[in-house]
Amino acid sequence: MSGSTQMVDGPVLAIEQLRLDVGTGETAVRILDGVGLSCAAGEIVGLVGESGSGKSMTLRTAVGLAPKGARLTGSVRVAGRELVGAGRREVLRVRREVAAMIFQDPRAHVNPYQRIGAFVADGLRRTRGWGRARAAQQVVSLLDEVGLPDPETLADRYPHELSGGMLQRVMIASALSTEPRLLLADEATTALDVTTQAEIMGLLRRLREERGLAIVFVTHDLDLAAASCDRIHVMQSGVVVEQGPALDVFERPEHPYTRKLLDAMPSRLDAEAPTPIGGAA
Amino acid sequence: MSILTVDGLSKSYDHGRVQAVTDVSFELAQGGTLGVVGESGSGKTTLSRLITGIEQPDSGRIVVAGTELEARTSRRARHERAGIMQMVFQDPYQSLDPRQTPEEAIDEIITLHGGLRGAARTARRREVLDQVDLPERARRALPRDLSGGQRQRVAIARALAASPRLLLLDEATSALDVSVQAQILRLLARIRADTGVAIVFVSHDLEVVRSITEELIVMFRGEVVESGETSRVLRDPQHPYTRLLLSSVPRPGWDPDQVSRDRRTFLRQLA
Repeated sequence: MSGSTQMVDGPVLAIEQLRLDVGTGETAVRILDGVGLSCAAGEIVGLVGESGSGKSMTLRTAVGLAPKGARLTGSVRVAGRELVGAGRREVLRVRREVAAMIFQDPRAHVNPYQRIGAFVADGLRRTRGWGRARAAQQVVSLLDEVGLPDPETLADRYPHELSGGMLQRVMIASALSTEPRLLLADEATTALDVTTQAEIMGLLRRLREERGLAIVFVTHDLDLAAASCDRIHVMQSGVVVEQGPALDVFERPEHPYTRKLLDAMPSRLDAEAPTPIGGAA
Repeated sequence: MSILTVDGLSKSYDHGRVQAVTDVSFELAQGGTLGVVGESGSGKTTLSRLITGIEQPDSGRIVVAGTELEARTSRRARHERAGIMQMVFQDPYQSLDPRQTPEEAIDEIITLHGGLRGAARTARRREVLDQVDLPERARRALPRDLSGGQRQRVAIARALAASPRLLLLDEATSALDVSVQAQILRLLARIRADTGVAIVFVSHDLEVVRSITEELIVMFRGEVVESGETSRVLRDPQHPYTRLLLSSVPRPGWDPDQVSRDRRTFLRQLA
């Protein structure tokens, strides 16, 4: 399952020995402990784990969204730019020019009173200083690119008129508006129906082919990661416990935690199916 | 004999403009397990609200253990129904009293439905909390100090405390981490084997439903499009929607674009 990997001077995202601590003295907690991860152009890398494993936190550090007061050591390079120790201006530049992020609940990230077109145009107007008309034109082309039907009409609609799947496409269109090289997806299909999830995964795959996007896909669903990603990192308690090509990790897991996670997947719970009880029926 | 009979059930909202459930019928034998699977808007949640009596149907009948659910029931009838049918929902934090420890919550139900007091109540409480493997320390803690999995164990224990013959679980494992979900599913299988309680398991997750039920109904836009033995339906789906649902489940080598094409074809044929 190797994707069309177009390597342009190294990986788009390179995380090395990343350590993140919050709190001080007695209450100090290590959230991430020596995390390493890389993602090249045209590659989809899955970051899999349960709640509290640090997968979302790892993603957030790549766009400079570590919690306030967190102490970071190690290295997070996005398109060659170091974010650990970088100033606010440099972090903002990365977020504006290189990396974009989409989330589980698109509805929490839109203004319900803002039309879809204006929402997607925001990024264009802010980061490129485009005028209203030019931005509106580009918005229609972006909505079309993410597979939304009748983009001109759609741009005039409000978020509540769209289904969850359509709204997630809008979020992706908005993320693409700054021409990023890195797309970070945090449980971006978790809240969607399975048929809609398939559509969004199809879209992400197409974007990595056509735009050569590097995509880091955070999910709790190992089946989904194995089906959609080139490589998988499995995280537990702030540590990457296993990594490798998606199929290898899926079919020949080496770390006990990966095996435990795989065994817990509902698709493998067959052995635990209830045995019919006698006499009660 | 059946523990639950649903016959020609229909429910609409917004003065008939939204048909949430249309002519749904099925029967669940005593001690049986039924999965209700569907996507958002399929009517599975409305169906579960009708069965639990939270909402009243426009037409159709619901018979639980031989007694038909009436629209306006006496306090006594509701009490009797609660002794037969209990529910567990997705978010235990909302269904648990934040000021009650698990022991207190269980005691309340035992007193209400078993009329037990003193040592008999303590013994029954222990039995129920043992059944859900709730650790000793958690039994005297408040819900906010429990993990999500522990809270769901308490919700299940509270349902069991009424000694029901039917347990309705609506997305009861959907908010849990997969490893915790697996524990709860195994727990439910064991409880069923031990107590013979019948289970209706409502879920959007085909794989979860497969792991725990023997009978299955698939819902789409308020209607049952396919029903039968769970293993048969999933091995040899007859309805195009069931086939679409199955092909949507991600697995290595799947083609999400093919799923999208199949979905469009299916929706076109419907129109």
